[in-house]
Amino acid sequence: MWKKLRTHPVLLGSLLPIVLLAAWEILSRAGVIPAYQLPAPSAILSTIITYLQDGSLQDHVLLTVYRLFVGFIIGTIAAILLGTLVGYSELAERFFDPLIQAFRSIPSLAWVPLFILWMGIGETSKVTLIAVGVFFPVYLNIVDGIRGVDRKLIEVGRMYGLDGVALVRRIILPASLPSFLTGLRSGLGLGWMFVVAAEIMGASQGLGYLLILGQNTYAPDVIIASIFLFALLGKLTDWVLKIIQKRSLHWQDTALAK
Amino acid sequence: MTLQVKALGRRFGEKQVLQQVDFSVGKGEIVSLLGTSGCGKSTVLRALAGLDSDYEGKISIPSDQRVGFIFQEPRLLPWKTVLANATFGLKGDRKENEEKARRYLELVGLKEAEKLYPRELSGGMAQRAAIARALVTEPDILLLDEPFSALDAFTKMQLQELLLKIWETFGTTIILVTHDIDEALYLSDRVLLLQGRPSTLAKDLKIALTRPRSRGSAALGKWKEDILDLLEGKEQTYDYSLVTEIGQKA
Repeated sequence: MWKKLRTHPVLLGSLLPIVLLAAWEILSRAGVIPAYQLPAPSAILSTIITYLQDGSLQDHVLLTVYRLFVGFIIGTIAAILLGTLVGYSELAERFFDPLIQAFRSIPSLAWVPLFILWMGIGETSKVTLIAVGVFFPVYLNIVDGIRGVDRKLIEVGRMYGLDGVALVRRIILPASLPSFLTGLRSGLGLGWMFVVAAEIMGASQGLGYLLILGQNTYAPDVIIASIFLFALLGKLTDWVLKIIQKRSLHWQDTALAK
Repeated sequence: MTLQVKALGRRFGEKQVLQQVDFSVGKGEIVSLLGTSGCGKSTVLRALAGLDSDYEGKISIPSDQRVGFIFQEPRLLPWKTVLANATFGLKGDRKENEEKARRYLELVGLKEAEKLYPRELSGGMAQRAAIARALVTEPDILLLDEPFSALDAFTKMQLQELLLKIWETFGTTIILVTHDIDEALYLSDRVLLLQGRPSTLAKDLKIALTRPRSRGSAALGKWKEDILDLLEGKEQTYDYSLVTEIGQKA
């Protein structure tokens, strides 16, 4: 029994959450934790089910994922273009990088009022904020990745007559792929953070809106339900990227690749 | 003459590493550049390959001569299979390139390994794959920078045999940088000895022995002794009838 617990991939790690959930449920039902502050897990689950049944939860989730996706794509594309250029060309680095670093030191949430002022409270400002959040980690990792490409492999490329774009495409980009994918994953993490911020700052739909709705209607079950869904979706999207990472980096000679 | 080097020099910062190196290599010759580490022998090779352009002097290689390079490490692209690595230097139709690459992989004894990734290869296999990658482009001149120095003695011998087989099959001109005297003597028609600070070409030794050579032969042993003496700067006790000073061809 003990041995099974120790070696099973999931069993040991799920022990503590199960115990805590059970304790939470029992304490809530016994009235030790007041329901207006922290409703029981079963109550939260039934809130989720209610929202699911009237179809509104699907709409909220879809819109949030849609915003994240569009912002993520825009931020990533901008990061790929600029990152490749800056990583590859020293001239481009000296030209662009100081400005980019300066912008990076602005906490991204400080953009919120400005974006609302410029673009209103609609989708554009939200997507822009998410794109800004995604941009920096992806950009930094691409630049780092390209800088870190083994000079010896670049020499191989040059020995076979590669130059400029061909060298970037055939040696530099594939060699910096591991770093790029790491950047994508941390970019996605930040993307989720910014989608919350964007939706809190003013939305009439989306998971972030549910957070605010719960706050304004004294419904902690709604808040916790959306927090839970954020966590679930975040984990899910990261898992997808992780699979992509594993598939495309199967050639790597590292301890993790098996 | 396939390749000619005149007054080749190279300085790194303030330090002159290489000075006034002159030599030429004929078509189909196997020439070793031998010297202690740090003597600039790899520098000569990198200049010949066009990987380094900040040298002094003049290098002339006829424009119809294709140059292939084999590095000390295999330097395979880790994200490509052995087959894809082998076709790396080729342009044009993929199917045709792969057919061609398969022929060379067979030649180097990697026929069964074409689907493997570099991380799955042993050191010897990886270096074989690197050799195949260089051969696929059908070079007229093959430059090798201490290509077998990281391998165990047995694998090293196998790959030396492979190199001779390539030379016999294709008549490739081969220039090999090595610090291994046995290797230089076993393979080469000529051994160029680099010596001094900055390095100059100290000796141009013609190894007038027929092939196949026997690794343990007395003749090679004598040569080795002489070269060791030369490297240590001892009084030269070697048999002058075997040696040609620079400029005097035997």
